[in-house]
Amino acid sequence: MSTSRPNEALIDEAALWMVRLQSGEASPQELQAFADWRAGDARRAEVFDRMSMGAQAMRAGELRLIPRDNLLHTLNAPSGRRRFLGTSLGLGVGAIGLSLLARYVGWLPNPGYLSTGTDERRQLTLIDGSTLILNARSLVETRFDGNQRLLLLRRGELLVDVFKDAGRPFIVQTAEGRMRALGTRFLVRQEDDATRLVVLHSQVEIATAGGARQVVSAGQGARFDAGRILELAASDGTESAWTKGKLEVHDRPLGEVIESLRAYRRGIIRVAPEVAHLRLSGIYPLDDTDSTLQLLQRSLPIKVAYYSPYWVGIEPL
Amino acid sequence: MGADSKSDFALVAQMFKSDYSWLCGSVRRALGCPHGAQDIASETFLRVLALPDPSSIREPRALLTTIARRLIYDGWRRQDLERAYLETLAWMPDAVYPSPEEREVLIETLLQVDRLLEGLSSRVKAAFLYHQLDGLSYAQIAERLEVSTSRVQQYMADAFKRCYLAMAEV
Repeated sequence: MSTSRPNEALIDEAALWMVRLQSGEASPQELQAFADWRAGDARRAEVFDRMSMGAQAMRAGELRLIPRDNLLHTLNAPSGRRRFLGTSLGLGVGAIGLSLLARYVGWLPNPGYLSTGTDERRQLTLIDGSTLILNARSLVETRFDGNQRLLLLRRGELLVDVFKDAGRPFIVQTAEGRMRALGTRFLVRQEDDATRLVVLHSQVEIATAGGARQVVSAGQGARFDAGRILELAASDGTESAWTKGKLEVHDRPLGEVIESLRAYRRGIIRVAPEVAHLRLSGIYPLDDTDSTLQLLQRSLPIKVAYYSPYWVGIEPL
Repeated sequence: MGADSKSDFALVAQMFKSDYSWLCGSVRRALGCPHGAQDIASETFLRVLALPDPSSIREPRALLTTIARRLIYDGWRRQDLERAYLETLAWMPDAVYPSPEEREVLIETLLQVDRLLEGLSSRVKAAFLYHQLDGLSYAQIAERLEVSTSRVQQYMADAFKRCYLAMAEV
């Protein structure tokens, strides 16, 4: 961090702007006033962007799965033993910057987990020889033993090319159920409250947590929740474009297209409700979301407003 | 990241030699349990090894103490959060208990959010979660918490300030 710490007043100001902007009621005049405020001093921009990133970090998918009351009860759990430790391990620590530590303590990846961050794809060869491609912001746990090869998809999306091993079935598990590979190549995405499966080669058998079963063949896509199969239809062949760094859509609403972009961009993208339903088709680069936003702006009656690099608004013209 | 050069490793190894027993001793006194103390002390050195530039460490014992303290806090806080979370499952009519692995991921996320919101009052946390996770408007939050809309805006400002401070630590 820079040596001149932003003062308290500046942080207060940034917070008030954030409150106003996130109210969803800011007028065009206010947005302009904000842009002027932000441009007036580099430290303002820095404070505001960090604040945006912190707010963004709150939106972890796992949290949505916990009922709100339960989440609040959990986060309000008292920490009874802190004070005690404060006195018994109380050596001088003033010399150490907290900033240095926070970066390295508690943020190391867990063994057994494969993950990708924002704007990152990974292709890996698993120990059985299968190939796994992870889309951005995905988390997978591998559990292979003598009887089965199990991948737990915690969030995000994966494509797997299964190496044949008749003795050990290959299974992908999500929050809603399990998919057993009867053949080789398929794609699984964990959505907010459903799982999406697209079979690219051979067949995959779904078993939902509630016991519903369905065999899905190559060229078909299915969506299911814990209870049942929600949808089974021919796939339009665009679903695996992300493995090549492309987002391919045929007649999809803008809101859904932006959902796919989020994993490739740090910060907030706000889509105004008036334009979220606009439909579009096309092929867009995933690794350069700024270009994609420009392309969208050219093909639809929308305006892409950059309030900061971490805060983009998509609004009606 | 990490001490990949030999001299960095040698530096930490030297630190280990001179300070490991000392660190075990002070953690043991804090915890009152020799077993956990060794685990924490070892983990502390692993974290030091992961620092980008061990040669810049001026006061090894102060650094070790700070990391060990944070590890102990995190471990305890993790237990607090896990216990509180399991309590909430008891209220649910047909609670689906998460598997140990699912619980692990969940608790890790909770721990990070908990760190982000550290020090905020329960009302501020509630307002912030309703807004960020559920997309409720300030007016809707005001109704739910039975306070004025301007009070909700104050809560939100407090939460955003905390977001900045948490990120500035990173």
